[in-house]
Amino acid sequence: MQSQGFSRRRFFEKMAGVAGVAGLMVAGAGCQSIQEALGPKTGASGGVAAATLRYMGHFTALGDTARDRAQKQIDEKFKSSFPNITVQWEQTAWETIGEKYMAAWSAGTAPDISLFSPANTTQAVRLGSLEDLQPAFKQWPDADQKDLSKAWWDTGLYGGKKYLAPLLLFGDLPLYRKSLFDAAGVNVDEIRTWQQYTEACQKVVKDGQGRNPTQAGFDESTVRVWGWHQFLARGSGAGIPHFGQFTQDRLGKHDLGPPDWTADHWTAPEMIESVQLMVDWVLKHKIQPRSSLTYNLEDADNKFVSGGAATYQFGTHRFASWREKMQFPPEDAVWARYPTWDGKRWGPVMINHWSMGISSKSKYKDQALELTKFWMSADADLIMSDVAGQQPKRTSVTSNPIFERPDLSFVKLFDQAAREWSAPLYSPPIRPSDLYIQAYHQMVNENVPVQKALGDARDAYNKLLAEIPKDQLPQ
Amino acid sequence: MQQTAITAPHPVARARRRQLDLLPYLMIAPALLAIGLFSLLPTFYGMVISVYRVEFVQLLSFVGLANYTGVLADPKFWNSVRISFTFTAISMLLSVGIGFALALVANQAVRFRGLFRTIALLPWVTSYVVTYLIFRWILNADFGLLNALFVEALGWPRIQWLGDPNLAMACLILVNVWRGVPYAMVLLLAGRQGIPQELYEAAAIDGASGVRSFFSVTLPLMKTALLILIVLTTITDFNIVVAMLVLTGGGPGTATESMSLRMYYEAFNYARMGSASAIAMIIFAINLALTLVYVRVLRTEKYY
Repeated sequence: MQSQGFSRRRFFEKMAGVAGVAGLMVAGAGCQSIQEALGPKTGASGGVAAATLRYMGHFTALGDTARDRAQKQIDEKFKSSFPNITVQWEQTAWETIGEKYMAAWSAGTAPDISLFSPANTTQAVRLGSLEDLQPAFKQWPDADQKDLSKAWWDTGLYGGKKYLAPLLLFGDLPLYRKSLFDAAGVNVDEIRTWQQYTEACQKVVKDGQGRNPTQAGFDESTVRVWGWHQFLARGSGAGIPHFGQFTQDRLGKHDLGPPDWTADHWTAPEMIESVQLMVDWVLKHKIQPRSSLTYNLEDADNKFVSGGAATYQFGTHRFASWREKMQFPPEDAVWARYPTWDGKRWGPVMINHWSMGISSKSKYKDQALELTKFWMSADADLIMSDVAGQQPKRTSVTSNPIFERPDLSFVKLFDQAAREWSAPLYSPPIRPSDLYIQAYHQMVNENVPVQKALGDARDAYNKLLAEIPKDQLPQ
Repeated sequence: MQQTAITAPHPVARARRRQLDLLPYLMIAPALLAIGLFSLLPTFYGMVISVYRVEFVQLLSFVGLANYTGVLADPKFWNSVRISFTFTAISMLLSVGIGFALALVANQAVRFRGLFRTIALLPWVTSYVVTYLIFRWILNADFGLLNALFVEALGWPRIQWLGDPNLAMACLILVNVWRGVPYAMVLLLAGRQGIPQELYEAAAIDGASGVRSFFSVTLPLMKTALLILIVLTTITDFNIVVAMLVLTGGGPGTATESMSLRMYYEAFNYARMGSASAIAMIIFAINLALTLVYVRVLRTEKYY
């Protein structure tokens, strides 16, 4: 019996056609892979073969912030020096760069270059996903090596190997709305203790009836300008406010550092006292809005630039972006030094970084090293400072007259503060930020005593740390 | 009248028919291959990882059930179980209930029915991440539309929508319901439209009111569609990560940290793949149990 409608022959002919097209596509892709696998093409420049480098970061030549524009300028200069090396930018949120890189590396698809911060460096190093850059750096001209700062050389150093080239070296400094404090009769340059800081902020904070937090009937729901805030949402990458400063100031040590990386000091009496102050800023002194526990970094930036807070602090590396968005005269935002608990000296600056690292599985390591070297050049460093408002990494750049500009006035202040008292932010083997923020939320939202919350966080951290063999702890 | 002679099958035709019996299997082979590669194989590998101590992606040593006992002994895990079940139960009930109501409305021969259906579907076609990001802004206590346009306009103090543990969970559920209702509506509308109109006419002739028709005709005949929807919605809501990750990060504190989010943090924050896989297997077991319940309940007497 002849079948009606559906013809098996026609069906198979169609399938063969589809399979043929699919096969051609696969062959085409395979040819490209084979070509890439076979290696470089003609047209080498500067002794380096042609390549397309994938560069993953949260500020790239694709965006529109000050740092993005700086990247774009450097990229354009790079293209003219290395016309056969193309940078394929991959803009990625900073909170997720670390895990995305490690997942991609594990799958063999990591970008050639990625940005790393203290939050994700150690994990990437332990995974074996980063190339040791020390041999390449040591071949740089002597003058270049000496021009880069000590902080630059110390960053990303593990067991004698250097895995990172810091692109941004920065730290926190407090930023004050001078006019608000002047109106309250406070000279911000004289704030030397955390208690003075608290009292100064209380003078600035006013509710809808003009009452400040020390006055009866103060209604925090009608406050328009708060004293201080920070990004403190779960999952935002935040930690307990000023925790690193307190450990330096009151315990004379890094929060989490070699050789053992334990968190036993989290429940030291000095730390409990210090963190209690941070909790009281919300609950008792009323200088910090409770809503800050839902802020991510963008929310916190916007709160300050829209005039919602009298002081702020985060890395100086974001200042250029803030200035562009400020809804008050930028000159009103003045940098100052950190207070300390006893006020006997100015507080420490914690040196943070965003650094370039090269994937150990990259097929274009030579090209990636050339790109890294270019990005660390004096020209690129100047662009980063001039366009993006970044702290220079090179001594020769620091003396450039652009740092006399008001928008870059923090550079000299930072330099001075860092020389007096600074400490690098280490990259612990276990990411503590989520443990910190959970503890902080418990203290503020659930009235869990500081000692208990910090104790639980300490125990959780130490338990995770114990799972790492001691010989694998970074030194 | 011409008759077709009945003859014995030709040997060649018999052989061709045997060969062509493979055709159905060949046709489903690509789908089976995809399911095997992208579903079964990762699940099996997850089971393997869950009984190993894993360093990033490297299997180090076999630890048996140590990862499971570690997870089950953690009070935060049980908190995340409670949150997952609370979120799923309330979210599913609201999605199905509101979806059902909208399906009944969408089935009416009313004016602008097409426009209504189109608008009702919009939340469903919006990307998950976009949806939750936008709501994060709307619910922001300081800058959000909700406080600015409604709360403060009424003279009330700002509400910490995402800062209060109970309100954060409520917001999470409501946003998820907003997004899930169209899907429920579409599925149930299809089920409703599959019920023959004659049954309603017969019920009307017998004197049944609208409400009686609903309980005696609509509901029983939509049981299958409802059960399918309940199971799919339950599994989807139980496994969801994006909602918590984008809207609250699991906070404030651990107030909205579901099992899936806990698994995400274990895997990508602490690089503890073994523990994360153990949590994944527990989630898988719960999903399997729910599916088995569905299969059992679905073996019902057909009404027509």
